Amino acid sequence: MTITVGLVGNPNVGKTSLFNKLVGARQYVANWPGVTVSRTEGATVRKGYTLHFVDLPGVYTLSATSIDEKVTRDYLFFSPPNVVVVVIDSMSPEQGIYLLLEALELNLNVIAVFNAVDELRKSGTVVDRSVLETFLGIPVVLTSAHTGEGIEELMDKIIQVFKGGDRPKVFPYPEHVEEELKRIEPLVPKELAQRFCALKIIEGDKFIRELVGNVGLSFNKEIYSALATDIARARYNFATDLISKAYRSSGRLLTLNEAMDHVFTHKFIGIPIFLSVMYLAFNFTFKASEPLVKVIETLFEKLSTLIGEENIIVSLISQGFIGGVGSVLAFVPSIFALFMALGIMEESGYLPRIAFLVDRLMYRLRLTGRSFMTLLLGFGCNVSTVMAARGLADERERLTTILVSPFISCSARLPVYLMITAIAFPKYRAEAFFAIYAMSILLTAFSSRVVNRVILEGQSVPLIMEVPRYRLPKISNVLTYTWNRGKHFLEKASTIILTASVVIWVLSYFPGGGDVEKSFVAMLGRLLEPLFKPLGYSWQIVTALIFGGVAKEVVVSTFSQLYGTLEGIKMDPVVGASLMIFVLAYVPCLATIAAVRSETGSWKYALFSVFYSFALAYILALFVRLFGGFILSVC
Amino acid sequence: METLKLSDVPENVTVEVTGLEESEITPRLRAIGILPGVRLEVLKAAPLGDPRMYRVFNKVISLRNSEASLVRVKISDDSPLPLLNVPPGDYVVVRIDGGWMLRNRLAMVGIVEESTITLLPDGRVKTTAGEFDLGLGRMAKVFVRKVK
Ligand SMILES: Nc1nc2c(ncn2[C@@H]2O[C@H](COP(=O)(O)OP(=O)(O)O)[C@@H](O)[C@H]2O)c(=O)[nH]1
Ligand SMILES: [Mg+2]
Repeated sequence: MTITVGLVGNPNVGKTSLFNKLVGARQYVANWPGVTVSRTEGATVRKGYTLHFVDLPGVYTLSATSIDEKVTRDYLFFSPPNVVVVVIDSMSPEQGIYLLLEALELNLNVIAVFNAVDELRKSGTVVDRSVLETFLGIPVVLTSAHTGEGIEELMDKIIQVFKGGDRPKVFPYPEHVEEELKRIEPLVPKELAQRFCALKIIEGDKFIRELVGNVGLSFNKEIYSALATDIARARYNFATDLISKAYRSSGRLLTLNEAMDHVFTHKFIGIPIFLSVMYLAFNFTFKASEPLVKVIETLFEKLSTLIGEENIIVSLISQGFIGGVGSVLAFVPSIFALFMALGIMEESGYLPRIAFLVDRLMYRLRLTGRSFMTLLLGFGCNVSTVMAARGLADERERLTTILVSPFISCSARLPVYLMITAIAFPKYRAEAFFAIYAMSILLTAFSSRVVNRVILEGQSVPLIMEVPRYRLPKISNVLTYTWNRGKHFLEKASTIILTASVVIWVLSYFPGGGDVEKSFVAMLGRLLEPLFKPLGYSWQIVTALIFGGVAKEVVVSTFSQLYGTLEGIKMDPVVGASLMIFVLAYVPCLATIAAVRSETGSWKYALFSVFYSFALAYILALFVRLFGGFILSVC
Repeated sequence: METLKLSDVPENVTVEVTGLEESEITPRLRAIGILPGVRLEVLKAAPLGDPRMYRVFNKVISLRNSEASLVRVKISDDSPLPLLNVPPGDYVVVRIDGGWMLRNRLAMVGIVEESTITLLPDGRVKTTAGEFDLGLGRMAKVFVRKVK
């Protein structure tokens, strides 16, 4: 027997954390609002029942205007689950209770979960569950996704409610609202949740109004605006009343650390602090991963020389497999370290504050702090930004975010930077990284302006965002985060990069029989070399860049295959700098192009992305080469 | 009592919502708890003054000024106000919104939290240490409540 369970709640109340506890899935959890864009599902077995959970995007109301609000509303409305679990943050329950009252109107089995009771206890507050149950008329479970408290009980309650099937009682509104409800309700088709629809019609929900059709509404819009206010007020009155009855506290509920916010979101030093934090994160990335990187590098090199390259098979294994894939794998520790740093920033609640700090700037770019957070995902992989952009309510903002996302420096570019900095300016690696990431942000901003000038016209959409309280990052969550972002990289190493390495090996082995200088790639590289002459790139670099179009890491494996090893390569610092910028900007990788094509539904945007970024990369790289050369000659 | 736009209320002031201008986002504002009769606290502004954080019940919400201007509010009777925005009279200092440098400066002229001060009609401030001209910038950072 399968029971479907929908997890509903405000953003950032712990739905995903609970989901992970319930189904044991290693699903990504974030401390910023709105990260669950599409719905995520998972199942577990309990007492002979299969509990099938659906983790829905966080919302404040079931009146839907943005895409993620629609996902949640449509799921509850058109494919109602057997049991709805409304997750409420026990530290700030008012908005959660409001949503709960809306969900109750759907006439489904509902359980209320008050989550994060561990934090509540720490703040010296107690909540009386029986009071909550009496006044809400539905089962209430107190849980903590951090300690696991209440999880088993929740599962049992779900089964119990499913079997018992007692529908919640009706929440009464003020008399004049009820009168209008009584008039509209019979006009709503029986198969729909009548009371829910009648309420949404009064509240002015366009979708439900269209769905139900004419119910003889008055032309005077003011009436409905006043009624909607009364409905909302009735819900909030109930919520505050309930809380005053059920909660006993020793002070203010909220534990937002104001001293921390005084510094981190400070008018003048907030942004400098953010930049310093990023700089520290990069430094951490190298310091923490350096020893491990060295070990792996040596290991693969030893392995490669051990095998040698006497004949074609041996060469394929040592050069193609080990050399190609190994050179990329060596950077895995650095990538994991960077994600760990990002994960800590996210779990602690710092990232939404950055969105808050930069919103004004994003506004100038016709974006919002929210698209800023979507773009931040791109530091992992640009494809995730392109996909996550679905969560943005405004179509223009969504398209802009998709089109500028390739300029966010994804983790696949990390190994390339790591390689170039090691070769060209080993003494200034952290500085070079800081510069390239700053460049990445500048290019993204600049492109956003370009996109809004050239292809799309419009204004920024409203930003209403919750700023979560600071939390001590939970190590297991940070590790999950790191693993989920990093594993993608390992998967790529064993698929795309392996394939590309073999292809490159084939093209560099034939027809010269192992002599790279006489191979196909050399021909190809030399053919295109004139195009890159102004930039000062050798044919090996050109070849590496061509293959890097498949996936950026491939630049590294191509380098190691063409030069035999990464150790002895010499590179002019200016060429190095120009190459770094070129790698940052030139053409999105194949996966990103495909994602842009499918998410925008047109080749037009995908092609724009390719040509625009290539042109930009070329111009910038040329500029760095000329200007850098000039500076060096003067010094 | 006069009403004003939420976006025009200075930081650290507590207000009560009196009305909402109807727009696309009104349902969400209502659901978050921004509706007539509810108390809001203006917390702090981002660089360049936009967006700002507000406390709504026990959540902290970031709103842009363009949205906050849709919300009509009146200042709560018991709300602390910046010394800059109050009429002459006797006041108790409830909060000094600044770092230790500002606090030290103000302490030297007898302005600390809980101290009683008088705002004179000429804009100068009388404390136990004498009469001083604080300057507009500092007066905006000293939050006071009327002496009953
Ligand atoms: N202390 C504590 N933190 C929690 C609890 N549940 C979730 N969190 C934290 O709250 C943040 C948001 O959780 P998440 O599951 O992403 O919320 P969602 O947006 O509702 O899916 C994360 O940093 C979690 O670690 C809990 O029960 N106790
Ligand atoms: Mg979530």
